[in-house]
Amino acid sequence: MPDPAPPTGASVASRVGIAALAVAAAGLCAWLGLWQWDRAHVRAEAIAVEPAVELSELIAVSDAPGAAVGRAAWVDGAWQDGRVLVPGRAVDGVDATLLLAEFRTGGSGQPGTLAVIVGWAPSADLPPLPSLDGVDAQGWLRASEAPAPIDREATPPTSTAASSAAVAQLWPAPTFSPLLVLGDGAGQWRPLPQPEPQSRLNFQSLTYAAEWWVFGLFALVVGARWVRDNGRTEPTRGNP
Amino acid sequence: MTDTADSIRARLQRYRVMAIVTGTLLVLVFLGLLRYLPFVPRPESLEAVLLTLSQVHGFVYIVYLVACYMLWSRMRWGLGRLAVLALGGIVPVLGFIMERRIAREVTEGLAS
Repeated sequence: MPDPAPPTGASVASRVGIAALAVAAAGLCAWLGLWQWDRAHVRAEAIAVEPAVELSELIAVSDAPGAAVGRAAWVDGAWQDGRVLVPGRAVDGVDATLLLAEFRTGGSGQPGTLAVIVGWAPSADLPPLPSLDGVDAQGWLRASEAPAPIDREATPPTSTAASSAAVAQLWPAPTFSPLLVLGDGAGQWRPLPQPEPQSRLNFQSLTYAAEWWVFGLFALVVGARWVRDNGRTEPTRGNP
Repeated sequence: MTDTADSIRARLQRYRVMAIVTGTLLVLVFLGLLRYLPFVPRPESLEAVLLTLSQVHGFVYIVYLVACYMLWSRMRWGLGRLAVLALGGIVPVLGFIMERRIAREVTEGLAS
């Protein structure tokens, strides 16, 4: 018979000692796991922001809404005279007004009208409209808001939405679906804050955290098993 | 009786498979560590492979520990032996040595 040594019936002191050791080991593993868990957050990498590319590589004027939103882009072409103000926005906790400008794209793609969000300014103290001569059309693409009526009587016209469909009523077709947000603003019109870059947790540290917790559990199981096996002084228990 | 022997045999078999798999992965991981020596060339393409390899070893090691535990608890060995078995998945080559020794010991025990 192979066998299994009979239960030894360890002293109470050693049973308590082993149990304490197992709990301590489990605690240490849990702590190491938490440490790696924190590191997974510290080492979280920002999902790379793609470098700015020419608009025509991202989207055509006929593309459906939603395409290329969030991407950094630049485009050749010429500023046109159209301007639209969008009041009633909150930016950085300030009641703000957005300035939209009309841009006619040139370059390699099919030309079209691109609504550009030049920037924002506090509504209470609106600066003069900036000159866009020499301002490069570069920034990032933002989804159009739902269309809203435009007050054409105002100078410049105003709307409650930064919407490419709304400005299409004023400016020549075809119109690009997303809006370009100027990365640098213009004049006293400040650039809109960029969306927070997304990040992903560090996978390596996450797996280390999980492994430490498994090891901690293992220490507890082994400790419990040992205490149970060595706790019975009567060697009468046979094999099952 | 035979149930016990069969159960021990099955646990031994699982342990041996895991010992060899874990031991092999461990040797590969350690060979991979050579890349940190200053005079060893360090191709970028290998980096991802070796990183993945060490992560795979981490998870396989957990399965190995479970296999060790199953055999250990059935054989009612002492804690020291479990510790050595656990080390066998972390110290290169130790796993292979233990695998040979344990296999011989348990098989002889079963035969007697």
